[in-house]
Amino acid sequence: MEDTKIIDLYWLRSENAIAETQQKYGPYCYSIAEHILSCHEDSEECVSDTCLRAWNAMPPSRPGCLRVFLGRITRNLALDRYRERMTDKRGGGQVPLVLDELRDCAGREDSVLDSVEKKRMARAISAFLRTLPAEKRRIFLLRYWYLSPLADIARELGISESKVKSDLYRIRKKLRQELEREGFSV
Amino acid sequence: MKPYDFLYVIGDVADDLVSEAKEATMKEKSGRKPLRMILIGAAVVAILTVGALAARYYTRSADMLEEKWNNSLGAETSMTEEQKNFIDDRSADLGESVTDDGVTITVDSVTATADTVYLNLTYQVEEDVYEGTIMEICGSPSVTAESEVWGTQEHTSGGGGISRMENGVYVDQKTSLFRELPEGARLSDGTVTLTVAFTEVAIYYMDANGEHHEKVVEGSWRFLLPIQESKEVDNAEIREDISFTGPLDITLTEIQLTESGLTFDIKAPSNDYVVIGTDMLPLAKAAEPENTFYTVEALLEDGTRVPSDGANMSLNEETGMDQWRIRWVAPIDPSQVVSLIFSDGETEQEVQLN
Repeated sequence: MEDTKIIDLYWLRSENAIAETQQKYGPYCYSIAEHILSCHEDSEECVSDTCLRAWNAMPPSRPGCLRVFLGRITRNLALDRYRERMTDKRGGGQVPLVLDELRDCAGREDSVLDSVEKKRMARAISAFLRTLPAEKRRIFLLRYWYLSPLADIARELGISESKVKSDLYRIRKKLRQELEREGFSV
Repeated sequence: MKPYDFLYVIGDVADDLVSEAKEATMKEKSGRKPLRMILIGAAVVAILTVGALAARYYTRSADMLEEKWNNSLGAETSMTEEQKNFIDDRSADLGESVTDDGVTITVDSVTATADTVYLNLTYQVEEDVYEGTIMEICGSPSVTAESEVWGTQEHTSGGGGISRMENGVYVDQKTSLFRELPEGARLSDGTVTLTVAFTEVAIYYMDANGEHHEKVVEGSWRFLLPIQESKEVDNAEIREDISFTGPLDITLTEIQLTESGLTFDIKAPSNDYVVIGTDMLPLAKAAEPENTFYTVEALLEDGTRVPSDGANMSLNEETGMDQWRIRWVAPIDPSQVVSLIFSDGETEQEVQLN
């Protein structure tokens, strides 16, 4: 079913909206959650919660890209769940590795940004990503948006894992410079 | 800012970027459909020949390598017609297919320089596949070049390239480097036939429950491929050694620039340095694999900086030195290269060519 029709079902408050969402985007959302949580049950719950959040958000929302809209909800839910887990000392998934890598870009300054500044930073990151060649942009987003394992990215793009690592290293370095140039304390 | 918060900020980047990252498919240009071209060819070719206004139809090789180039260098430095013609002169469309155990592999086109063969492949599986399926050729394909003039040579390294999904057809590019051809021999001298044999294909997919699967299909896909003759070009030799004064204390010697890449030996004061990958001349200390590596680019006359997309290293048993071969993202004309630019990510070192 086309995305616009699924969104219409949400607006019509039809429960088929959830079934169609599960069918079309369940595996996609599951893979995002699984990369973060490395736990089948928790990931499945995240996907269910994603549908519930989507149900509560539409209306009034009418997302331009349903897939990313759902993926973003799943990602945030999974990160929240991961954070809860960490307080129970239960780690796993790609998050610790990704957080460690992101210390190249953030973590030196103990700054706290308000939501407006965070949005501004997200726009600066988007603008920076648009300056990169398509492949490098994909590598960055597959790693830090989708939290895909390095080996998966390498396989998906048909390049070596070491190239993924070296590209990420360089992109992080450039991104940090760009954010500092834009006046962010990272 | 804490890395954790930064991860949430990244979550808010623009939708189109996030969406693009998961789309493995890139739009195929209409010029890459030889069958369609043949069907309409009889009528169209006559018109185009008479009118002399024809847009040139390139081989699939030239189109694929152009796409790879543009993806790597970015839209602002897209491949020039001159560069594309250079590749096209070394390429031929083929369209040879072999099917085994439900998997069809097709060699769409071949590009050959003096020592390197680039194969453009598509492969297709008969059974239903799920969204996001990836296929790739695994193991080392057997590649042998046979010349009426200088005999038979097997390839000494290979692999690398790009892989992507295209409406159930999976496009791949494999490169094979012939390292030990006889003195003066070229793969592209018009006498060579290539035998390529694949024995294993891996299929990766995720089912409706989100479970990941990997399936390996063994079979025999064997191709006999003629290599296009192309005009010989002169390699460029750099007589002076290149020494680096940065964090790595190394010297490059015996440097030679070819159509397909750059070759050199490395002198290092100890064996502390190890290769951490096979891309872009990455060298680093074993204990600090993330810290330092070099890249090299070829600066062309028109200002384009051509990056490398692969490398391999072997030990020269006579000299005890590491021998490197760096592969450009696509074949280039060595006479167009004005300098080589090495970088450790912080500073650049440019070596002018005579």
